[in-house]
Amino acid sequence: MTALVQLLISGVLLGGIYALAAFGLALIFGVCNILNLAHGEFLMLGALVCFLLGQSLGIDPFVSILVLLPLFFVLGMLFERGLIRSVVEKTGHEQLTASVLVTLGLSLCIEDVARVLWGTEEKGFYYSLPPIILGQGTIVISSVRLLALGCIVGITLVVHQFLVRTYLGKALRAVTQNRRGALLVGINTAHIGLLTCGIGTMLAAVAGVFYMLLYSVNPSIGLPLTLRYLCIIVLGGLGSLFGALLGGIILGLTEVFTGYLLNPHWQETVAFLMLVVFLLVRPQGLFGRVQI
Amino acid sequence: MPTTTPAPPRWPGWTLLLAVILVLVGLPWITSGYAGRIIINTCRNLVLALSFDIVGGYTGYINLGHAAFFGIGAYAFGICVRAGMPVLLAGGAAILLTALFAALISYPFFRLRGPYFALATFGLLKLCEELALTLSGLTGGSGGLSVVWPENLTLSYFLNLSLAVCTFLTVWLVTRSRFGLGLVSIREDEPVARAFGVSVVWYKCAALVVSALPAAALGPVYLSDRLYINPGEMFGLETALMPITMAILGGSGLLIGPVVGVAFLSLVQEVLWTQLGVLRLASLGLVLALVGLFMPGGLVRLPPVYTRLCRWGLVQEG
Amino acid sequence: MRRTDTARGALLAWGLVLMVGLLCWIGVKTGGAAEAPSEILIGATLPLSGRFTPMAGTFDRLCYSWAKLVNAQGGLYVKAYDKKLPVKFIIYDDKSEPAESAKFYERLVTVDKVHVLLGPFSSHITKAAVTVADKYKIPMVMAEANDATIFEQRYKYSVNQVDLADTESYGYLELLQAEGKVKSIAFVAEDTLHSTGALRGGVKKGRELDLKVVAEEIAPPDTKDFTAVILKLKQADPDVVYVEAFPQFEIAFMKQAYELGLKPREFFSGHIVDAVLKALGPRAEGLTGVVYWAAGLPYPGKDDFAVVLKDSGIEWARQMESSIHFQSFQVIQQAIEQAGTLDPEVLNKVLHEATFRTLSGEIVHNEAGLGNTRSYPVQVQGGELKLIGPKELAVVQHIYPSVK
Repeated sequence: MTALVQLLISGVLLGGIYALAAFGLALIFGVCNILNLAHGEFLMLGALVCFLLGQSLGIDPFVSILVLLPLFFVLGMLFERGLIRSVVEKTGHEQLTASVLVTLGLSLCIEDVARVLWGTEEKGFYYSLPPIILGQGTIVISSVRLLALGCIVGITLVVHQFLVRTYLGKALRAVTQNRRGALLVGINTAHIGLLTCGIGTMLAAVAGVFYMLLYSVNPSIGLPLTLRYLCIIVLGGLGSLFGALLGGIILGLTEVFTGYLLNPHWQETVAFLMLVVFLLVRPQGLFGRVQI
Repeated sequence: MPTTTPAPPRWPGWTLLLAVILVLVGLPWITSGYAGRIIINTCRNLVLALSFDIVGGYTGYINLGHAAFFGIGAYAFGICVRAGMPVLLAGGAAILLTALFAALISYPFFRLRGPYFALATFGLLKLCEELALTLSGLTGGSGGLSVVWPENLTLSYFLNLSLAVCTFLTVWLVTRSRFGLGLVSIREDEPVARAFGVSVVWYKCAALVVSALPAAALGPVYLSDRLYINPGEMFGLETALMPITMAILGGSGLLIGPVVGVAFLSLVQEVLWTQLGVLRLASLGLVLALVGLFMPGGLVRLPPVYTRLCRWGLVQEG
Repeated sequence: MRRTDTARGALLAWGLVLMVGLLCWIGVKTGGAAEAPSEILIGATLPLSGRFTPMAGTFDRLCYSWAKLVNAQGGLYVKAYDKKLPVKFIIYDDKSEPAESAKFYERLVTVDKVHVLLGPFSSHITKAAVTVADKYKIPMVMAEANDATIFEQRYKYSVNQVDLADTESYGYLELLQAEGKVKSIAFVAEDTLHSTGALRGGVKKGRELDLKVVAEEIAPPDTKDFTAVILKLKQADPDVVYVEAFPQFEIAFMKQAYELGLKPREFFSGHIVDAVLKALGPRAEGLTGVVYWAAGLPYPGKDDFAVVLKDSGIEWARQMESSIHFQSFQVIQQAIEQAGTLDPEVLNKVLHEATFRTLSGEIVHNEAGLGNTRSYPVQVQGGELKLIGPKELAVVQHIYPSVK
C-alpha cells in the first residue's frame, strides 16, 4: 500500500518536471506554430548558467533563478527576432521544413559552442533540501521535486489568469486561434511573438535549474530532451497548456508504475507505446483542436 | 523563319547522371577503400533520403520515424540469418516483414496531421529503439546483433550503389505515374483531393509501403557490410534526422532535391570534419540554419539553380 | 541556341573530369614508400562530437601533448634506421559513430599511411574499427575497449590494455570477501555494452565468492526516475548497492537513492569522476568505486602522465579514461622500441608477445590480444579517492559500513 502511494507521488512529481520543461515548448508552438527543436538547448544553458554561478560565486540555485529570468527572457526575444520571425511568416509545408532546419541548426550550434566553452564532461552540483517524510519513514516526498511541481502548477495558474484576464493574454490567444485575423484586428503579432518566445525560453531555463538540482548536465543533453518534450506536448494536444501539464503527469505516472510492476527496462518502452497508441485513438491529443 | 524557339534538349541532364553512374561503377578499380567508404555512406543517405521523400515530399507528411523501416529491416535480417536462414531468403523475409509493418501502421497513423504525424512517427521510432533494447533475447539488446562472414568492400560498394540507383528509379517512376500525381494532390489539399475522387486512404498507405521498401532493403545491405548493429545506431537521432535533413535541405518534393541535398551535405561534412579543428558541428548547424532561413524550399528551388535544372531536364516544371 | 548547348556540353564534360579527378585525389595512394620515414605516424579517431564527448572529447589534446613530450627528447628510437624519429598523431572526429570511425580508419591506412593505429573510444565503436586493422594488416592498439565479443572474433592485428568489462568488479568483490563483513549485494547497471558486461561479471563473481546477490536491475541509460528500482532495493535490503554506469546515470540514481531513503551499509559507484563527487557533496564520503590508475600506484610513467595531463589541460579526476589512453601510448612506445622497426608484422608480433610496463601495472596479452590490466578498488575518504586494495598497494583501510 505504501509502495502504491510512494509510486503515485513520485510519478506526479516526475510529471511535474516534465511539464515544467514542456510548457514553454507548448506556448511557443501555440503562438508561433513552430516546433522549437532548440528548446532543450535553452534548458541545458539554464542548467549550465546555474552551475557556473553556483560553482564560481557560490550563489544558491533559487537565487540564481532571479538572474536567469531576465537573461533568458532577453535571449528568447533575440531568438524570436533573429530566427523565428522569418520562419513564422512562411506558410504550410515550407514553414514546417524551415522550422525544422532553423531550430535544428541552432541547437547544433548551441551544443557545440557550449562544449567548446565549458568542456565536454558531466557537471554535477550538490544541493539538498530535507525531504518530507510521512508514514514513519516509509513514504518520502522529495522537497526539490515538490518545489518543481509547485512551480509548474503555479506557472500554469498564473499563465491561465494572464490569458483570460489581461488584454495581452487575450491578444495572445487571438494569435493562437488565427494569426491573420489577429493582425486584422490590430494586434501587434510581432510583439506577441517576442513575448511568447521570451517566456518560453525563460521557462526552459527554469526547468534547467531544476534539472541541474535533481540530476547533472553536460552539453549533449539538449536534443534528446527536446524530442521527448515534443512528444509530451503532442500527447497533451499541441497548443494546449493544460494539455502539456496533464501530458507530463500522465507520462510520469506511466513510467514509474511500469518500472515497478514490470521492470525498469520497460519504463521507456511503455512511455512511447502509450504516446503512439494514445495518438492513434485520439489524433488531436488530450486537449488539441480537432483538424479535418 | 520559325517564330517559336525550339524546346531545350533534355539530354544534358540525363547524360550527366549517366556519366556520374559510370564513373561510380568504375571507381573500385581506380581508388582505395576510403573513397569507397565515402560513396557507400553517401549511397545509404541517398536511399533513405529519397525513400523518405515519397511520403515526406510528395505526400506532404513528414515521417520522422522513417529510419524505423531501416532498423526493422536490418534487425529482421540479422535475426533470420542467425536463426539459420539462407542469406537471400533472410533478406527477402526482412523486406517483406517491414513492408507488412508499414502497411499495418499506415492506416492508424495517417489519421494524424502535420506535426502530430511527425511526432507520432518519431515516437514510433523511439518505441522501436526501446523494444530493440528490451527484447534482448531476440535482438541482443544493448549488446547488439552480430553476423559473421568475411568482409568484402567491393561487394558492399556495388550493393549500396545499385540500391541507390534502384531507389532513384523507383521515385522517378512514382513521379511519372498517376499514383505520384495523386500523392501531390493529397499534399496540396487533401479534402479537395478526396472530393475529386482520389482514394486518399489507399494512396497514403501505398505511399508509406513504397517508401518503406528501399529503407527495408538497406537494412540487410547495411548489416552485411557492418556485420554488427545495435539499437542506438539503428534507431538513433543521427540515423533518423540526417537523411531527412538532407532531403529537406536539397529540396523535398522534387526528384533531384534529395540527391542534391545528400551530395551537398556529404561534401560539407567531409570538408568540415577533415579540415576544421573546432566547431565543426556548429558550422554544420549554421549551414542548416542559413538554408532554413533563406532557402526553405531547399537548394534546388533557388531561382538560379532551379531554372538551370529545368533547362537541363532534371526537373519537371510545375 | 546551339552555341549555348555546346557551351553547356563543354561545361558538363569539364565538370565530369573535375569530379573524377577529385575522387581520384581523395582515394589514390599518393607517393611511393620512402626509404626511411621521417616520422612515426599514429592514426586514431576520437569522439570529438556526439554522445561520447563527455568521456573522451578532449583526448586529442592528450595525444598531442604526449607526442610533444616524446619529441622533446628527439622522439622514439628505431633501431632499423639507427635514429630517433619524432611521433605524429593524425586524429579524425568519428562523431561517436561506428560508421564514421571505420571510414576514417580506412583513410588513415590508405591515404595517410600511418604506421600504427590507436583505437577509438568505447567497445561499441571499436567493434567497427578493428576490422580495418586486420584487413590491411596494420597493428591497432585499442584504447577503451574491453567487451568480450571483440575478443571472441580473434582479430589478429589488435591488442588492448584492460581486461574484460566482466572483471571490473573483481578487485572490490575479492576485498569484500576477504573482510568477511558483507553478506548481500544488489547490482544496478545502465543498459549499455560496458555496464551490462560488468554487471554480468560481477553477479557471477559475487556468487562464486558466496555473496548473496539480491537484485540485478538494468535500466535504460537515460532513465531519470529510479523510484521503481529503489523501492525494490529497499525491500531487498542489501548490505552493498553496486551501481555500474556512467556519471549521468550514477548521479541521478544516487541523488534519488538519498532522497527516497535507500540505506544500505555501503554504496559502490562504477565511475567516480569529479562531477559525481561534486554532485553528491558530503554524501559522497565513504562511496567506493574502482579506478584503473591512482596516484598512489608505484608503476613507471606517472611523472610523464602528470606532465601530459598538465600540458593538455585534462584532469584525471574528470576524465578517468585518460589513464587507459596513456597506457596505450606506453604500449606503442615500448613496442616500437623493442621491435626496432616500423614493419607492421614485426610490430604486431611484439605487441602480442612482449610484456609492457605501464602506469597501471604490467601488461601481457593473450592470443586474442586481450590485455590484463585489472581495476583497483578505491574509497572516497576526506573528499578524495584513496586506494583500499589490493593489500600490498592499499593506502588506507576500507571503512565499512560507510553510509551514515
